[in-house]
Amino acid sequence: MAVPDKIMHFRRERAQELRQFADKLETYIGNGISTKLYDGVNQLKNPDYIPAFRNEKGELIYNNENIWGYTIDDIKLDVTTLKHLKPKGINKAEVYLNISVVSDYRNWEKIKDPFCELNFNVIIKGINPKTEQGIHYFGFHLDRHNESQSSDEIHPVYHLQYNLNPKDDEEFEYGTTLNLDTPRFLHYPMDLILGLTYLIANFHPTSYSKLIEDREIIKILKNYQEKIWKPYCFSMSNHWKNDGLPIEWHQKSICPFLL
Amino acid sequence: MKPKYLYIDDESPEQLKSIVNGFNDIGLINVELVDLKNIIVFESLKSYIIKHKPDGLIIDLRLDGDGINRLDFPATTLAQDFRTSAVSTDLKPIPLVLCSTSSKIRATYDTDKSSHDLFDYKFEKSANPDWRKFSNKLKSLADTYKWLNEKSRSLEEIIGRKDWKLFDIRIFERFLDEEQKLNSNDIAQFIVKELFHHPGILVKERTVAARLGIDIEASVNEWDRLKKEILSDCLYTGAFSKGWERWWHDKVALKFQSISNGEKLQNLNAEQRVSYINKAGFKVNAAQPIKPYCKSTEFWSTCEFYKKPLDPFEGFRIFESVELKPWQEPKYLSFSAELERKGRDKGLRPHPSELDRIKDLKETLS
Repeated sequence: MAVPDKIMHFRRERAQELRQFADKLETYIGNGISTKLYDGVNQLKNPDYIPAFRNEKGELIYNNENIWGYTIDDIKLDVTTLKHLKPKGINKAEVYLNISVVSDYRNWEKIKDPFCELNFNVIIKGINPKTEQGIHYFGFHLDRHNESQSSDEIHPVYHLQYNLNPKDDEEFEYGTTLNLDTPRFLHYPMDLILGLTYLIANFHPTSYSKLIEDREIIKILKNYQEKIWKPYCFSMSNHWKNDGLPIEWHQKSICPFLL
Repeated sequence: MKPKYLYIDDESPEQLKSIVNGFNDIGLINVELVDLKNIIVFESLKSYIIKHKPDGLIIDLRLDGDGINRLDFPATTLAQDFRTSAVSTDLKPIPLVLCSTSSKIRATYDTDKSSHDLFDYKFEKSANPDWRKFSNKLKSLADTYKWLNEKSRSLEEIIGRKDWKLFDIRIFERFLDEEQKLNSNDIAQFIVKELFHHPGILVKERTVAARLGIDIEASVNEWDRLKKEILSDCLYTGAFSKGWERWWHDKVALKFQSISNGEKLQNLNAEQRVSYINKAGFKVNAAQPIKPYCKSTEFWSTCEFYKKPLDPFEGFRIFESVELKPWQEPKYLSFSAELERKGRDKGLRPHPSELDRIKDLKETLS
């Protein structure tokens, strides 16, 4: 089944933005980082590609032409913020991002949940040349909770969780650390563009400061913040009525990513 | 018919006999030495070549060296003229192959990057040349140039795959330009230099093994069986594939997923990858990290010196004379190789951006 022209037009716009973003990352960060992002460009432009997802009833939905998205594995970024890394002796670290985004194009301009599914999985790998085992991992992921999965634990729809043993190594030595599923930290949703920018800001801060000076990048980021964060923030603040008091807390001091 | 190469060298025919015989004894190509005794000026050499209609040229780098038949111009001048003529006249492009001693190549050719696009292949006049390997490549070059010269070939025909749109669109964009059609030389340069010489969508056999976590030496027969039974559709069969064995990485990765319940190579270490392969009916052995400094078995590349599996994370990017395209992957040296300064004679050295890390690591370990 091929996707109708109108929706393909929308998808090609997203592909164009992703391509622009990828090319800018190649300029500011390099090392072939853009080539993985081009996988996403291809998927967006391919009319035969429609991602599948589970709806709120838990049914697997595929071939719904309104649905767009992409899955990209192994986007690699050097960690340049090595100063406070523990254990001591780690002299190199890299971040690997696996991401899949599924969205309904009809929700893009609305104050609605922007995604039907989101998996944003990050593994950080560090190397300690002095120790026997040598390789260290840390991980976290940002997921969209599917309402059909019942659970006793509280699940903010978009939540972030840490994972001390992201490789699921059965012989992992927990030492004096403790790993558990909760809490699931409330977090705003992030697609590839916002999410990768988030990782760059945290792990490659010098490149981040260059990125947010770039006119085209600013335009893209503003657009994605508006499409993805505005519905999230408006919907949550709507819990309270503004009784006319002036808003004196500056939004950028809460969220320095806002542009 | 065997492709005919004309061989142009300023040394005496007696000295060159071993090279001519080396190729002709293997029998894949025919090499004829051009007698330079009566040829001094450029134009007469050129008309000699045109008259003899070769399928390719082997040219000594320093034609203006100290041989008894020295000419007034180097190989690059001749090559440049042939490449220009191929564009401006009806003269069809043919492969141009450079030969020289390794020290001369390093001193002259490697420093003059503008001439790199002129030649399709270079081989060194060493003590023990691998004539079969060189013959295979030269035959493949000549045959494929001829095939490309016959008529305009589609990208699908050239790379032997219809689904090229799966790849980074920047890779094949140059083939889509209606205005500027690529000639055989452009295509050869792109396939051999850009796709074959850098890991990316195509990789060498040793990289395939590394990504599957396999120690080739410790699994010889089983590795051959695996290639035949599981990986045969992953082999690159497009242009120049007879001269260079390369594998489609994406196909290898998918093939692995078909036997691993969907687990992806990059999320597993060598032992885990090998355990899935062995569950599918093989007995291959997992590769070990290059001792004593490497620890990770999440192999993705190989050490350019030791040719052993390496997690690029633990490797050091090597210096390459041309800037990599975003879709080309770097090549790496392991720390052991770097520490012992291995491969310097082959031009292997770390990229300047790695020097600080090497220094730190040496200090840490001392």
